[in-house]
Amino acid sequence: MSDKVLEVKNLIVHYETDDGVAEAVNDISFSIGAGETVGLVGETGAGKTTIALTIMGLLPRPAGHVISGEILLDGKNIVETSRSRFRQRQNDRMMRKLRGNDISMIFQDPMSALNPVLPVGEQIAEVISLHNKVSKAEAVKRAMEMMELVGISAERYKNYPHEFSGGMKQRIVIAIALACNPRVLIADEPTTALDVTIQAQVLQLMNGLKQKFNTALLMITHDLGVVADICDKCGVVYAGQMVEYGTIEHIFNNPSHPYTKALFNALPSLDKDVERLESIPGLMSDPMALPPDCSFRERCNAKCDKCIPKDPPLFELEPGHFVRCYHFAPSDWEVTSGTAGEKEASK
Amino acid sequence: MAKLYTPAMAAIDKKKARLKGKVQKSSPGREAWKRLRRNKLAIAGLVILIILVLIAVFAPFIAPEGIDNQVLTRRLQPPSSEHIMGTDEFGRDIFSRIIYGTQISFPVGLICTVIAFALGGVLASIAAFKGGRVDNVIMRFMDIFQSIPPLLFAIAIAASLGNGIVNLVLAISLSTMPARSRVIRAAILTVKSNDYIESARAIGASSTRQLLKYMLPNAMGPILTAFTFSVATAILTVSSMSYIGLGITPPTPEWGSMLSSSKALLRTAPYTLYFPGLMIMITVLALNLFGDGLRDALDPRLK
Repeated sequence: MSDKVLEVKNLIVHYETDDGVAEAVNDISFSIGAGETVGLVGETGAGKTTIALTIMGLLPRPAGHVISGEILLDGKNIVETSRSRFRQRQNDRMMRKLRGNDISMIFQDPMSALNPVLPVGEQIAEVISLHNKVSKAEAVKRAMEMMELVGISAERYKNYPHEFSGGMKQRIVIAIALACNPRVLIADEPTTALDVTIQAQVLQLMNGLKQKFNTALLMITHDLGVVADICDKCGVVYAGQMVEYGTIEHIFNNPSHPYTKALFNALPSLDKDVERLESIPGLMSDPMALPPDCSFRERCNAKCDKCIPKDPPLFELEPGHFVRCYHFAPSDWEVTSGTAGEKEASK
Repeated sequence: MAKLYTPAMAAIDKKKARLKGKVQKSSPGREAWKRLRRNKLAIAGLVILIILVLIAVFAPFIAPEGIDNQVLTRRLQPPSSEHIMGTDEFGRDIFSRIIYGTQISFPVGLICTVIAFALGGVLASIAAFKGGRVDNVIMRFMDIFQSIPPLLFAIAIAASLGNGIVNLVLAISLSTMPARSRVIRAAILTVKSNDYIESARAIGASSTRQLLKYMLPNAMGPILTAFTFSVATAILTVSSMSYIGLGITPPTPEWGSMLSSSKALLRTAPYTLYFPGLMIMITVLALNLFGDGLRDALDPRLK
């Protein structure tokens, strides 16, 4: 588990539109080892999907730009920060070979993620023959094996997507994603569109296959229950920043960032008797105009004098457990440079 | 309690037995055919089209005479049992000429449309797929072409190249190409934003593969519908061009040119005009009926 398959380092992604620059991902770092699962939780618009698309090299053009940072796949950088057309095209060519083969993605909505005019089996066989030099018959054979593996009879190879239920379609999508035995699998809210019983089945299936293939899994979700089910580590994303990061025990037993705490308070609990669930007041800050101080400050119920008007760094609360909040600043920590407005100036 | 075996249950069992071993398949094409089959008008159009094609194929066996069998002693005879559509000013059997006419109108209309769609399709696919500047350049180029009325444009091309089937086909294909490319571009743009295109990119499919295997097949519905309508328009244009003398020239029995050469006889022998006109109308009507049905069958939400 020690070898890091995927490492994201200080990733910054902006969307440059006519209306301004949306700072979608601001300085995100994490890593995943083989057979490990890392969960990213956060509300809509926090930048989770942008992280996934950046890793896949599928950022929407021409708006999306990786400003800085590295994404290392087996130690090799796969992200291009240069804006030169030539360099980007080179990177595109390289990414096309990696996609589906080394990195795969499961999309949120299985209903629309499959090509309606191709039989599902052929869609699985297509990935296999795209990335491996195999005969048609061999690709078909392996596609059928994949179908059996995700629990769909190989007899249905020639069926079209509309003949399957949502859960079965998601199984097909998983089969496509895992067909080439990728090193990294990114699942972008894979269970959101499914009902609860099917959710559990799909999660179980993904977990089983992940262990079987020793794949590094990045699970993007806004469901803390899903995280608790299958993740080893978890990051809480807020306004494009990792506000808390740690092992699953750290996050669930000792949630420290006010946002994480508020998330847990918003969940129904079996052992607490409450009239109403707590909600987090306000909305997430507009990524077009992020505040120069802590991005959660406006909605925070624990803000105090410690909250200086400057973006807080990540503090290590205990080994491996990081929190981006001034409350956890060590006593000897000092603001070394810059005051309010430094963020503006450095742009 | 003893189980009763009712006739209804027996019927169900029978049906089950019949279905057993038969894999129920339903591809999108099969579904569309099922819907099309329920549309009586569309089927009527299809049947007429099939009959017309058969007539074209077996014309030598159906037509009693050749296309240019001039017998001046039987000029301008009204329809009779001998010549069911009468004879024209040169004493040719109109029925035979009408029959042979299917051999001209259909293939010419079809070829014009195929060329227009192929040319327009390639340009439109590139424009829709690449987007941005490429799209802009190609589509503005199409706008320039489209700013000239198609018929006028075709007349200009035909007039400068001269008469003849090849020139006519070229003129009609080029003049209709911009409008066709618009349809194809729009169809591709609608499917382009679908999630499965993103999925195709996520499995590492190349641009060409995305376009040919994912976008075009899914955009086929509106394209096919537009295709049938365009064949009808092309047949009309061929006839119009022949009518004004820029298309297919006599003695080739093109319906439009037949109309044209008998327009002077409107008062004395109107039946020489009726039948070519009727044939053009029937053909175009059948194509439009079929096209309408096809649109409803391929896109049931549209109805």
